[in-house]
Parts: sequence; structure tokens; C-alpha cells
Amino acid sequence: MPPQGVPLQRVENYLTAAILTTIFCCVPLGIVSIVYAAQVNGKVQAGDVHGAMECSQKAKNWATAAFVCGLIAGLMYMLLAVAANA
Amino acid sequence: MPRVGDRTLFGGLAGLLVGSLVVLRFVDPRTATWTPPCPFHSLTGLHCFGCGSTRALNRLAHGDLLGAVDFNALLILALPFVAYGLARRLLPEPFARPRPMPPWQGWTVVGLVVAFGVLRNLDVPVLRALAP
Repeated sequence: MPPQGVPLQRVENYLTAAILTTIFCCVPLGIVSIVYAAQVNGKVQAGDVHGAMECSQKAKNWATAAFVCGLIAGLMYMLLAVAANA
Repeated sequence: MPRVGDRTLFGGLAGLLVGSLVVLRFVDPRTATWTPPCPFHSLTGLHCFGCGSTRALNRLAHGDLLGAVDFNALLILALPFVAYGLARRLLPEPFARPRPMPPWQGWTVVGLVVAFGVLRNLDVPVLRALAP
């Protein structure tokens, strides 16, 4: 029974973002995001909208952390490489 | 941890992708000294699932689709799906239809990525084509 007001499609599970940040940014942090993202739909189906939102938020935060880490690591490498060759 | 808006996260991912394509149109990672190499490959000598991505995007930015597939087939295969998923979350209202990916699809992608990472390291004639 889908809970009222929040249909399944409306709770973003961030699985796309989790996978992308795992592959391109930071594997360890991204995997945590995938694990949380994979729980969202099941919790919505079980009627646990609150739990689903919590997992959704955690999935987003870990994906963001992975994104930022990957970006910083990449930029730092480029800066150091440019400095070493200057 | 500060709250991050959806548009920031998905926009950041889209921006990274488009920005990389633009930069790699003018920079060849095979000769540039500052493009980051794969840390996994540097440490182990093995090819990870992402190895060849920079070179693949460089080829793609020049319209050389086959050359891009040669460096990282999985990345090029995934790009249309990635672009579609990001577009559905970033475009204005009539086109915005974010449908969360079902978990089984997510785990299938994870399985494919791991399998690709293993297969491209095997010294078998057909599979050698998967290595960058």
C-alpha cells in the first residue's frame, strides 16, 4: 500500500548520483552512499516514509562528500603537477 | 553536514562532465603532464574500471567515437544513460521527470562495473580489447 501524499516516484533515492560519485570521485565514500540509496525504495514500499527520507538524505550527503573529495583530490594533483613542472 | 540542494549535486556532476569534455577538447591527456593518472593503476599496474576515461573523453570531444570506445567502452556505453538521468533532474518543469533508479538496477550497474574491471585485466585475445 503506497503511503498517501508521497508516491514512490517522489522520494529521490540518489542511486544515480551515488554510482556516479563512486566511479568518478571517491570509491569508499560513494559505496556508503550506494548502500543508503539502495534502501530508500524498499522503505517507501514498506510504508516507512520517515526512514526512507532519512536514508535518502544520508545517500545524498555521502554522494556529495564523495564528489567534493574527488574534486579536491583531482584539483590538488593538477596544482602539484603544474607546480612541479613550472 | 550542511544540507545540499539536489540541483547543486546533480548540477555539479553535470558540470564536471561537460567541463571535462570542454577542457579535453583542447588538452590531450596522452601528452599533458598535469592530467591526473589513475591512482589504482599507478599503485598496482592493473587497469581499474575507470582507466582510460580521460583519454576516452578526449577522443569523444574530438568526435572520435570508436577511439573513445577503445579507451573505455563501459564509460561510453554509460554516457547516454548518465546524460538522460541528469537531464531529467536538471531541465525545467515540463521535461523534469526524476524517476529514482530501482535498487536492482543500481546493483546491476555495480556488478557490471566490477565485472568490466576484472575482464579488462585478463590476458585473453577478445578481452584485451577492453583494456585502455
